[in-house]
Amino acid sequence: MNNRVAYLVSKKLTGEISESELVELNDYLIHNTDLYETIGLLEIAWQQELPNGQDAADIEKLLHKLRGNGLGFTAAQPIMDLDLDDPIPDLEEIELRSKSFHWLRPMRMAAAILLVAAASWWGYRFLSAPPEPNAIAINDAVNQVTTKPGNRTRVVLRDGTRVWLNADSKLTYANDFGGTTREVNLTGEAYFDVVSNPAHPFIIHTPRTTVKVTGTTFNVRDYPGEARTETSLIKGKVEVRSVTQPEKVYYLKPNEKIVLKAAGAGIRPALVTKTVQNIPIAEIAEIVILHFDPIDSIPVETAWVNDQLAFNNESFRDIADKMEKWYNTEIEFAAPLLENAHLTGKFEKETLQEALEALQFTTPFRYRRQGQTIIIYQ
Amino acid sequence: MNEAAQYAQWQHRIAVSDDEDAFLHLYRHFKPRLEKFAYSICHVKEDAEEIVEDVFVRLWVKRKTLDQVQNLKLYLYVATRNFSLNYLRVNQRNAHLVIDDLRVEIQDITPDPEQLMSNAERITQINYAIGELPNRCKVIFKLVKEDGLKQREVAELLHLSPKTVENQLAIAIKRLALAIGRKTTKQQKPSAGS
Repeated sequence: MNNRVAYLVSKKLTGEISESELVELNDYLIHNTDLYETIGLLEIAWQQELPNGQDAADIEKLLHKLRGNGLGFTAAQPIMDLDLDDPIPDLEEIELRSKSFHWLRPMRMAAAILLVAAASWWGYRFLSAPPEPNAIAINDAVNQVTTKPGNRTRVVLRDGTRVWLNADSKLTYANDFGGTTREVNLTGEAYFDVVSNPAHPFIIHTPRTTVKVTGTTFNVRDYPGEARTETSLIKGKVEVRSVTQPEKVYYLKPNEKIVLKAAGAGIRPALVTKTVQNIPIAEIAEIVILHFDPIDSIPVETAWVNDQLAFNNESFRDIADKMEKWYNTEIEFAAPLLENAHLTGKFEKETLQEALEALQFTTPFRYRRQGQTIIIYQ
Repeated sequence: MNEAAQYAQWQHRIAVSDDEDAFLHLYRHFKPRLEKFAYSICHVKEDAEEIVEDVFVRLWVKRKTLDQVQNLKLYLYVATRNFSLNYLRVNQRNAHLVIDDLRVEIQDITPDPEQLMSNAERITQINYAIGELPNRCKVIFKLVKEDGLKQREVAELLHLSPKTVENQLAIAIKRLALAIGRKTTKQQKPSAGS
């Protein structure tokens, strides 16, 4: 971190950064994404609140001085009753309020982490950006961030919200984002760290779901073409609706995830989905507790943000979907039974070959390369 | 209502209607941090307490003029500074503000469990790095971070140029960033099992 960046970061932390400095900082960060984590940690450190003294006995000493000096201080009521029926809000409440108004101090706000996932990725890859049925204000959307397979990226939106975009995903937002509305369209998977602004909730439209964040920091992920979508919440509050049944609202508690899928979904018809754009979901909604890795306590669902490819007791087919995006390859099963084998694992720096070999330890299978495609067989 | 608006409301109620409740709220709100600031100058905990009480007694006495105060928060810090220096004078000590003599303790960062999850080790590193900041840096860092003073307010309070405050704070941030980057590289073994 050079001096100029340290200066800009310090200005941002204290909420004194100017418009042009913020632009400068964001521009810099877009090209230096390795600093995101550092700045995130600094923000966590910065948000630490001090306990306020609420000790009545302490006040008694001051009252003694005031009363004893004929200063016209009556303080008739007992101190302990001060807060009862008091039009002045409690200090805690003020703290909370001031937090939500300090938009330049994102980490002072409660954090909500949310993850929306979807299953098949082939369908999506063959799409030529069809109009998204659930898209909003897309007409004048000139801002688009995309990732290629095998790549991930991070961006900072104008309101300070940070978005981690997983492989082969697309994030679009209107030019006036951050003005009166904060809405984005997402295809694929993303993790959001949203700056709180109660007046303008942050809304994410994915092809099959709408996720509204009333809290402050969250993470969203969604790939169309898959037989299911997932929304995982680490902290804060979110509302999830499916596009097909918008009247049903699902509220998640921290460390929960909601899986929306079609009845009978689970085994994906091997070839059909390659042409299917959006498999209908929301016939079955299932809320489950997130699975935390016992070693590093990161939920499997958000491991990718930490550059880890993780899965917990998932079908080989679902894992293959993830690996395709992660390694920019295609995986096909010559042995359909293997698709339903359930596996658990985590990879960080492993190559595709190393990952496959690790999986072979627990599930006997063989594979061969055929051009860009990996064929899995018995 | 944000913080500044809340202060303004208290200020107005005290000045215009002798509002004791508002006064006591103000006191309770600022007491801990002002005491810490007073302590950083006078180095005696009991005296710091006394100083802040005296600041508020004075504030009550002069409440009719309170509406003229532009920045109540800074006003309270400046008053605490002056009362503390006055205390030093009475005690025959150097009555000038010498930043290197200021004694500050910065509270350890203990984030929410969720935030702590994967970051425990590096939070420890940050805490350590904060403790290792040069004193001048630490004083400024503390007043900006913990007390929420603006950088120019810190400059005014400590009789420093705004540029100095900016530079010192940037130095602090740079050091903390460095501490975070100094991560211990753990070898992550793939665990595959059904």
